Amino acid sequence: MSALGQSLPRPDARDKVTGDARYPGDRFPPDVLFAFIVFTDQPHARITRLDTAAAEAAEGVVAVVTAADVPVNEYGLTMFDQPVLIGPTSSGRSAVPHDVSRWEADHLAVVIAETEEQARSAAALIESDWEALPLVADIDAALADGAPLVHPEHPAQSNAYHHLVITKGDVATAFERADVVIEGTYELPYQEHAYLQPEAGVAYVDEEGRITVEVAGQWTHEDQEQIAHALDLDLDAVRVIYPPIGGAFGGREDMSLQIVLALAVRKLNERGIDRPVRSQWSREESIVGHHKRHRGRVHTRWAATKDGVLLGVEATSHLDAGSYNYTSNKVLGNLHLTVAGPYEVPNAQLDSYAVYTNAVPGGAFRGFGGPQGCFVSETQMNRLAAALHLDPVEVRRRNVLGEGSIGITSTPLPAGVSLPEVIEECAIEADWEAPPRPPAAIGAFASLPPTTEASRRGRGFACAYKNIGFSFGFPERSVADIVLHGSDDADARPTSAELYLAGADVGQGAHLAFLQMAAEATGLDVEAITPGFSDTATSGDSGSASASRLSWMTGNAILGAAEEAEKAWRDGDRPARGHFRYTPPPTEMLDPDGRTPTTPNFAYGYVAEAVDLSVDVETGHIVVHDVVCAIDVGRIINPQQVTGQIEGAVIQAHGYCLSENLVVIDGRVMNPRFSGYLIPGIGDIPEQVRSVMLEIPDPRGPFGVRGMAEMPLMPYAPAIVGALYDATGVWFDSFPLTPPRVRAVLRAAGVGAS
Amino acid sequence: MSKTHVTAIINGDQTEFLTEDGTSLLNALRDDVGLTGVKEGCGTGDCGACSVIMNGALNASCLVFAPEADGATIVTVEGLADGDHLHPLQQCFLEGAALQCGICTPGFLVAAKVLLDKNPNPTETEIRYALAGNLCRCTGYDKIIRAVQEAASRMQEA
Amino acid sequence: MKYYAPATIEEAIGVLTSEPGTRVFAGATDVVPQMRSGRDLGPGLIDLKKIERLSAVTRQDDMWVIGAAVPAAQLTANADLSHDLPGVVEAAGLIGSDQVQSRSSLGGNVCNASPAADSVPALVAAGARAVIASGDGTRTILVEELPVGPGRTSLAPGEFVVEFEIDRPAGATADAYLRLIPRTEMDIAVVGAGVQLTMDGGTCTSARIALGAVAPTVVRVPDAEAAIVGTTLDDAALAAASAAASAACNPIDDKRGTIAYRQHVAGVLTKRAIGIAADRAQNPGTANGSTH
Repeated sequence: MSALGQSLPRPDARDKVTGDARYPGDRFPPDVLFAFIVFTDQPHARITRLDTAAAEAAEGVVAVVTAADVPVNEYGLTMFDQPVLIGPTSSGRSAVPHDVSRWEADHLAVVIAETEEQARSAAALIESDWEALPLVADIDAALADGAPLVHPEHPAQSNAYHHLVITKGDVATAFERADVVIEGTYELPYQEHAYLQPEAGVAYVDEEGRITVEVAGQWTHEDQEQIAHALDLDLDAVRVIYPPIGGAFGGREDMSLQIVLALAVRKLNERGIDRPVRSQWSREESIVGHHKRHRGRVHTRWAATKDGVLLGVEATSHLDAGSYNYTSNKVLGNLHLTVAGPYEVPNAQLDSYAVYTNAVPGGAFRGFGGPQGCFVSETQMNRLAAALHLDPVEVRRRNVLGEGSIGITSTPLPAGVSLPEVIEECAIEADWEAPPRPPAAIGAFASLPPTTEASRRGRGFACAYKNIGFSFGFPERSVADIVLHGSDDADARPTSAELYLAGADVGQGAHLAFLQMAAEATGLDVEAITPGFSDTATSGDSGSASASRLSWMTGNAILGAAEEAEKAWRDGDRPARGHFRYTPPPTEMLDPDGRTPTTPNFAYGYVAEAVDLSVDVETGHIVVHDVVCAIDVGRIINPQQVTGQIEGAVIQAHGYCLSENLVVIDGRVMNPRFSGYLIPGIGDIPEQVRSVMLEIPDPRGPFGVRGMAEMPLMPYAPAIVGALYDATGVWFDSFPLTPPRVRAVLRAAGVGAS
Repeated sequence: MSKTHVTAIINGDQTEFLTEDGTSLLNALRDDVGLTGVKEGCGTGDCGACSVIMNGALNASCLVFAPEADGATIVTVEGLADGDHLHPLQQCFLEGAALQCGICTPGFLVAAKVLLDKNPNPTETEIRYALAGNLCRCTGYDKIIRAVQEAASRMQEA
Repeated sequence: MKYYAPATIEEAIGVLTSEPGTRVFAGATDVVPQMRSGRDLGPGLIDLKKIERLSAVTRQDDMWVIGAAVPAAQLTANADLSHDLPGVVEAAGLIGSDQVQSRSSLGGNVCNASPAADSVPALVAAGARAVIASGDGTRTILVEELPVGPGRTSLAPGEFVVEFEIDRPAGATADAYLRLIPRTEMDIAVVGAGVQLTMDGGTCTSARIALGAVAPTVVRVPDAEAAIVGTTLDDAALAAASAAASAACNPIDDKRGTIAYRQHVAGVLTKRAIGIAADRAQNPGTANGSTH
């Protein structure tokens, strides 16, 4: 029987239900010390004095690490623009000014003590003097005339430091010819990852003398590289291991405590102290101290014929990158490619900017710029349908990208474009042609009892496409190793195997997918395969758990490694080793004026969603009755895990759209707790979420697999806004759709009691 | 800091530990008793990851001061299985993929046990109410509800 | 910080007297978040849960006596109490999740003095009184006299609430509590509305209406009460009560709601809570509107 298509249980599930699983925060090795990471608490200021003497003398303190201890005081995933530690003195081997705090959660020092309480108490004894610098609070402040620069050292010499352009056809003529123009300005909110496990880790020197960090991340080898860079060590002097990871969603793509933990161990080592060090952030420190889904603003105009056929799109987009780039330049690229929608757009002028401010950095979060672009494009498309009295599904049929379509960057999409089929399946499952449903009472499970008088009901539709794998020429690869074991007999088949991969299981079940694909590739049972995962000491670089790429990329690497191992097996090797480094077709960066036809991606995934909701027009409360998510997954590896990704992504989108309201004022996060930042609870979610999985193979995907974990998050918010319009006749151009916001917009439009 | 000696029945075993008065039961269970299946998700009683059963009632152990546990009977996720034999809830969470990252799982299991102890055949709405104090960021909750329903039905058959 | 667990009221008073600055607590559901925010809670905390009188719920002929430290879960599980005072019970039942319900008490909810405390409007609407102990004996005041501002009560140093007394409803009298939050559970009220009224042959003969989260302290709304007393709760009366409730608000803008939103929703909830209370008063034994 094939190992694919089976809902096999996860290898980690038993330890997770018994409480035996040891996450990074659960590791208490003998003699372990606690490292408390001190934040500057300064959104924009220059440090003029740092005195750690009192902290170092405090009870239980073993050492205090400061900027002076960092060999190369810079880091960053795609560019080095962030000091590891802020301080008046530094080794001088970085171009990034190290004496300026640009973010309230910049790191100032690491206090290493016998206990957490001692480390935290001693941290309060650190003295520092600061010279205030003018605060750049948000995009408006950053773009204002004469705005102070957040990064004066950046060659752009502007807070809008990264600019992407697409110029296609003749957009001016398109607007002249248009029968209808839809114009909108959209405000896009932050989103906090809110993985349930706050940042934690343990670091030590391993038996081979390597500085070893056990931590929750998304890319072991990138963590290893950045640690080695900052500590000025050879790569093989650093080891990164991922134990079970308590969720990530993009929020662990960038560094949190990896480098500082390594620094702590190194400092102890220099003093002849061979003791492990652990650290754990509180929830508040986690929410203040890591990046967010970008807030931003998009102004756009769409030109179309009276039949609803798109003629042209203009868009100017700004994302608030915050104080450091993180992956903002890459996230911006995804917004750039999705803001005109998954449609044939003959003429376009798109300008997208990443903007430095002193707010929390924007960065990777499931969808990676796609949800922002999709909200704009799909709301525009729904508004176009409404303006022309067209059905939202029908207007998409007239514009959607299909096989052979020329994409927004003037090149054909990679083969296997299945969005037309996905849209049709979604409409069928949602019974889209059925007449409108009668108003429903606002749930049995709302904080208010049912009322039908004030209830309005509506349906909405949206669709999306998203890249699989790294874009725009970023080096893409995945390495797998397979070792086959069995009898020396010439015609014997292997009876067991080892599989080595670094790909991170952040909770999404990647390791089970690897095992099922390896079983399929080797003809062995899953139980016969011994995994060696997520340790730089044993595995090659698999790239990150991001961009819906892990099954796609590692699957291809597994197929290659299995083939190599099989060759060795036939040659009589026992054990038979297969090593394979898979590289996908190359991708390209846009040119500066965005005119040259460019292939930014090698694969895409496709999704559509239909929602049915009721809104209480007196209170602004929304209840979602039904969600249909149709997605082409290419080939189902594990049905249970795939529906788990769909359901999880839809509920994250539900929070993004309806309740998650991160408040950032003057560079400070104001609600860093779950009592104030409301992720959906079990009572808040839609009454039902239905998953429709299509299996139209991706020609280049392993076994036909497509990436799928991000896509279901994208169309949800615009589908909800479309349904709200259907229910009330009112459009929303900003979210989250909290009751006060819904009520205020409805009231301004004269809907519901005044 | 005052230290208090605490004696409690934890997962069936008489357990003694010494704690500072201001320490939460959560930290005492993790650091002093070694029960790291009890997770800290927030420390403010908002997420349920640290849920334990104390004297029969569902509690967020982060909101309980460790000295309050003196004389109490406490059950954590580590106390659900009978040796190698998983509790039906554990088995159904495992089989039903009702977990992903797994940090919230111990709290959900403990909260679901309190529910089924009181109400062996809950409706879906009752399950939602009983688990409203537990946040999960991965699964979208549906598989958790199904797993609790399945466990209830298996326990009734047993 | 030192932990005290006195067995008697006298013992608790003894600690409060001998260790100035110590504070009492019951469920600690507010105390722990405050500690994490760095608030100085003094040299010690006195756990009131071991004192029998503070953990008792008793029904007397004419009133209920609810110990200040009784966890909310015990109130929602009490069928007789729910029958007599459904609004008070549903308010107590809305204080957090089951985990919080195992701990949170009326005494703590009232004395934490949050403007958004769920139990306060319901207790005020029900005419509840607080019995307060100190070294000088006990005194009894109306619940609405307890909170005097956000985080501040009228309790003198050394005083704490022992129990609440609530008259049992006579005749066709019932109460109701509604609150609005952005989600379904586990949140702090954006607006809360407590109503108790008496009906006689379809006419409302008396009413008490109180609002939470719309001013620094709980707000009684005599104008809304006057708008419905003597009426059959017709649309015009309800509209007038709703308008009076909105007008009585003095709310703040924050991340949970704007001033305009809170004023508006206060009116909506008042209208809806009146409907539920009237229904209960005329159809005793129904639990219409209860969220649990």
